[in-house]
Amino acid sequence: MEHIFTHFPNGKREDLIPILQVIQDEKGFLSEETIDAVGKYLRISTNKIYGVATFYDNFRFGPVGRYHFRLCQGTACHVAGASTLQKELEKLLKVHAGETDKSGLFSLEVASCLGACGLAPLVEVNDEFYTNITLESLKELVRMIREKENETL
Amino acid sequence: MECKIEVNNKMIPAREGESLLEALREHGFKIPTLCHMNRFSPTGACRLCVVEVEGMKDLVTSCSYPVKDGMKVKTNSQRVIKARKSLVELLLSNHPDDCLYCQRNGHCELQWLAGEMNVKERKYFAGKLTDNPDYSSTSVARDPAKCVLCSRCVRICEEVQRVTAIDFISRGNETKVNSAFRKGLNVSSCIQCGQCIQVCPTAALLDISHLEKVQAALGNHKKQVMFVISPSAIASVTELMGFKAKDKVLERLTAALKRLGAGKVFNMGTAADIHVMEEAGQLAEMLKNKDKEHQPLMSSCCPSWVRYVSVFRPKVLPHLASVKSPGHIAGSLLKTDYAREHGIAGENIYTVSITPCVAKKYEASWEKNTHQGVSEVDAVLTVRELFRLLRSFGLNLAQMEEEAPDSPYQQSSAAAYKLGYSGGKAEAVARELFRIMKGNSKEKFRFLQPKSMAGKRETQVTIGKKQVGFAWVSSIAEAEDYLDALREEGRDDIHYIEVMACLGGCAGGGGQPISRGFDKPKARKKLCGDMEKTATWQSASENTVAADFFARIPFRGNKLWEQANK
Amino acid sequence: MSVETMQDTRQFLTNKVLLDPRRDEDAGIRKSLSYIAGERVHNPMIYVGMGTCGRIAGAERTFHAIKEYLEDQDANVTLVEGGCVGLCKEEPIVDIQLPGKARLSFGRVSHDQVQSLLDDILNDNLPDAKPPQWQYPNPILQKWEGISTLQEHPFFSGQQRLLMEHCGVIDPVSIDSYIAKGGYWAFIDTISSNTPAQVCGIITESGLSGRGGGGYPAGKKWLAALEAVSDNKYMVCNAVESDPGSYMNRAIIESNPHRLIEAALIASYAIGASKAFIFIREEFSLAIARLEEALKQARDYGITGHHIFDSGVNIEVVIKKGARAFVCGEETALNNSIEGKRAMPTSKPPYPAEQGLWQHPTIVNNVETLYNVPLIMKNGVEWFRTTGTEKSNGTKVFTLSGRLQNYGTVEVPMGTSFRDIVYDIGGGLKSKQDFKAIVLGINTGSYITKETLDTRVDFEELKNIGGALGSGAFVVLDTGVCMVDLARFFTAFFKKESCGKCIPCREGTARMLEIMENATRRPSENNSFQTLERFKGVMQLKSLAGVISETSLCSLGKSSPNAILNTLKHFKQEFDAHIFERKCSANICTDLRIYFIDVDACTGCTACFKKCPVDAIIGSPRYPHYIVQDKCIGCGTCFDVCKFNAVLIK
Repeated sequence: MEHIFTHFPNGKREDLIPILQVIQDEKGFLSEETIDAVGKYLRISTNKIYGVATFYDNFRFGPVGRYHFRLCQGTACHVAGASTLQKELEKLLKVHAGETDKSGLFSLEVASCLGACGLAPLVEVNDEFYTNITLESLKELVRMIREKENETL
Repeated sequence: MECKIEVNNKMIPAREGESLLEALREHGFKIPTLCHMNRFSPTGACRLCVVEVEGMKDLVTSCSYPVKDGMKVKTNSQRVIKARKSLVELLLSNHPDDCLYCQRNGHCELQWLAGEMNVKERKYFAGKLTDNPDYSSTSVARDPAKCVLCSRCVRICEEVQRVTAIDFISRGNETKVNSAFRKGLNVSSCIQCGQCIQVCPTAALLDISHLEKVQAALGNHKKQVMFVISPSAIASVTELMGFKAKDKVLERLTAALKRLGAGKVFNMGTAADIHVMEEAGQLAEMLKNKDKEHQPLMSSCCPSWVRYVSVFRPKVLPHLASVKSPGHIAGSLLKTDYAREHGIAGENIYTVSITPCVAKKYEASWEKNTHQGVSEVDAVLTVRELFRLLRSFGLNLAQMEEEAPDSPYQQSSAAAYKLGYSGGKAEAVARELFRIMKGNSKEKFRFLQPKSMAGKRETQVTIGKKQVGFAWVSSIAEAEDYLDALREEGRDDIHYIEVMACLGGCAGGGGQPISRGFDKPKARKKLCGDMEKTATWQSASENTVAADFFARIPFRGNKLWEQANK
Repeated sequence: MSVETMQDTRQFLTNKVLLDPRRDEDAGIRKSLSYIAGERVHNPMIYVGMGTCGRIAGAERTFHAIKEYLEDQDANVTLVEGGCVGLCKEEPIVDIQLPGKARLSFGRVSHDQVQSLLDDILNDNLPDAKPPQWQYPNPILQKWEGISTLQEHPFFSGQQRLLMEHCGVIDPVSIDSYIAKGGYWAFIDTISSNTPAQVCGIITESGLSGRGGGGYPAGKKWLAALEAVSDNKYMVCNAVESDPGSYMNRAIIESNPHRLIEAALIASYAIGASKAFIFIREEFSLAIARLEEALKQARDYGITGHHIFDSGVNIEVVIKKGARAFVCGEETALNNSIEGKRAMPTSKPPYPAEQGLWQHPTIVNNVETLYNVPLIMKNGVEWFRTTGTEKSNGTKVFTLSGRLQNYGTVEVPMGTSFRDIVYDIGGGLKSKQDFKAIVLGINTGSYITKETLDTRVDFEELKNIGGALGSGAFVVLDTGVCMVDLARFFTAFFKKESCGKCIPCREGTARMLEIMENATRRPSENNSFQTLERFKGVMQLKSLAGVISETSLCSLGKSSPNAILNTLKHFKQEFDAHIFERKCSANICTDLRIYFIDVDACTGCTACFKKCPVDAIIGSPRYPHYIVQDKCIGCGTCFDVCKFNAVLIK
């Protein structure tokens, strides 16, 4: 991780969150080893770093699934029925919001306002957006993904 | 700048810019607080100290609101009372209802607040907080279910001890106090000082109990349980019971413990004297050899300080004195020398230290203090545990008779009592050093206290032509800052530093009865001073028992055990 | 004067435009500027709206289709990745400008329509199948016959686009276009002819007040920071925008990032700060990318950095990415986040203007507030005061969403009525249901109901009806929305986003949520104890809400009970129906209703079995069917399809 630390030569407390963000962008999540290394570099207790990282929603401590679902739960999406869809999606993917399933196939994240309120409800799957979704279209989407995954097995 | 403010329709004097809470408390207004800590900057987290200030739409927290000339404050309006009560009710809504089974029953700040606020019903129903208690550490037990997130433990661990073994994790209602990745305290950077226990308002932080194993040993007829009571523990018990130095608390404790089934009860004072003599001896050698590499010599009887150095400042390790702490000197002596003299098998002796320290529990587990799996000190009871033990057996010290502690460890010098507070050990070691180095000189020992205790606490002792510098610090923050200052200023005039991890030294130890603020440590220190006056001897080497042993068995390294095994 | 190379352009813009206050007086300069800005074009120009909203609607595919087409044709056409004009309903929007003619906007251009569209228009023919939505009228360009103008479009006619004037029009990451359109003129003029105190005075006099929801006078805040004594001062732009119903800050940053930089520079100058932070949510990846590009351009131009244009002024602008927490929108929490700590608010006083970042004087301003600043400095106080009402000057940007025909980002002058926004600009409701309410930003939880529809967008008027403007979220609800459920949703949001520092917010939001869940969910056993608890809970709501708003540390906690209190105020009958009758008129709280099949009436026709969307009904043909309660989502489909009245509701 030296290559990351060279971008933050002063190694100050205010660099903590940017460093963690760069690490997560590169490695996908924050592990114990990475947090230890950051702690040594910035001379901050790892307990404090963990405390800062767990405060914010964006930091993850385990990898996301091969298919990462981001379901929007903004006000307009909620009004369009996104809350019910969340429950159904959790059942379909067999995973709770904020978690990755055991096989590493699916993970689900709840976002607030992806920025397309007129196309509510919507879900993002690995950078692809699916708008005006319904329970049916979600079922179909998940079915297609599972089929594709089974093919490649 | 002096000014006047109106509180509950009464004018009181105050100072511009000070916190409203300070002003109110100074004039006798009772304001409840939870997250507030004296000498720490206010966080405004608990909101219990809210008051009404004219001109402010909402209630304000008096801890963080500055006094302004002419402000009008109400501390007991309906709004304020209702708010405070609701806040406590909210805290209680998910707090486990374990009072009857809880160790802090009767001494819990949350209980006290509920009483003060006149909480009469369970207003808000919520799921009880549950969490996995952490008993992994040797010294500090954590029960996060009882935590009210007041932040006091986090702040003391971070700001005073510079360790941050625990911190807030997650957010909102999910917030917990824990270490990284929720691992046990034993694998975190915790230095086992127990200052967090001292500041915790509930039973979320407690000491790891050795009571059970002591009670088991007492009930085991094969074992001879030998209690060794440290002088600072004696002072602490004296203070708590409201006694004076002349009230012979040690003798009462001896009688009480004997009633419990103790085989022997000893005064740790002699071991303390041996310890001081040894440490002064090391210091003398360092000075004689002009050993700049190990200068300044630093005390190592505080296990938290030793742990801190091992984890955070390994370069300081060579400076630590290699002397066993008094408790382990006593334990070693009992299991070898004493056992042999009295024809008892060493493994049948169960040694119990009574100290105001939770880190001693950690020290007892160190590899270098155990021999083939047997520790020199089998159990360590804090003053708190001692009281629980006495209570559970219905023993009341106030009505106890007096019994002399067992021979030969009955009395101590004044030096032993000096170890009970910050600065005392430095003076005791200085006095011993003076005796070692003065030779035939007739000069008198002088230990001049610094003019102000607020700045650096250090002094120079004249021994013949030499000036030997002694310093003392308590709390890791002070130790760190002092070491940094010495390095930055390039000073080499300090030869010995007494380092105690607890604020105020052992007088503020993690195992002391829990109290807020600095009053109690001060009272204990004063009692130590009074007890010094009643001690049999003045300096450590005047202790005939100690001097005798010292002549026979120097304690450098583990020579005692080697001899025992021969 | 013709400007050929980039280097020439830069020299021209620097010497003749930025550094020369008389730039506007020369007709030759004006003409050059109109070409650089893209107002006039030498070659055809195609501009694709590529804000986040556009991308979600498919604009990227459209863009690539256009790119391929142009490459195939080897056409000499400029293709621009643009910003968002605001009418997200029409996205993907493709603008086409032919030399000498007015710019046209085509809506809903999917990638498969690209070929025929370009075949037509690039040959000067208006496509019949896909007529343009509007044109941008310009006296120097030829108007197209029969095409209405932007201003005539009902979505735009009621707007006054001051902050958004360039959104969807200019290339967001072209500093040349920005300068050509008048950008950075205000900043360079200000640092050479105004003192910081004068700038604070001008902003104060203009009456500009915070657009993030607080409504605090911006100039007053700046003056306090200017007067504070310190070596280091900081300016922070709050681009956190975590309100779950708004994205207009993101949209305008994506569409015109340079103006934010200019505003941050002016604000920094006004208080004597040498470093400005733009604190923006990590998820706004497009906005961040464009902002970084714009910042790089500004640095290259020498507009930020040391000794800006030989003025002796040093200002560095830094982008800081937020790791997502709603509470970061609170200024002291934001400062803590910049410092690398948990974003927990701290007590005020002291206020950030005296003790902010690292205990130094700091001003924190909302994005929309800042976008006004260069305009006020360029056009003057009098100009600014002509827009809006007496007490509330200027405009307000809203994100329209919910059950409206037209949705997107709009900018209206203060004083516009909410009715006009819903029915004129928004085009009315898109569903057949009736209008019920508008919910403004989550931090206010204010509702505009049928009775208050004629209230105008104005800080005072909203205060008078017991509400507040909020940050700019504007979600229109019809009778198909359950207000109790919405209040529960908001409360759940606050509980999740509470930082956990103070007792009233941390515990109080959890307790309020439990009470609301009781109100909208079926109890596990419908016994009298649970009923009593439900009633007790509701009765305590008001008292609990009062304590939370009076004692919370920060505005998040203080405003967390607002949604519930406002629902109780405006929609009490709905609330009562949920509690006492366990009935949800909007049919949203499906948990309240228990559907079951009367075995005697059921003929086993399997109609419900086939229609159940979650397969919660089991049964074989001609045998009575059974609804599995755990799987049932209460949609009522079985109830609707049963011809035998065998599906009953408990």
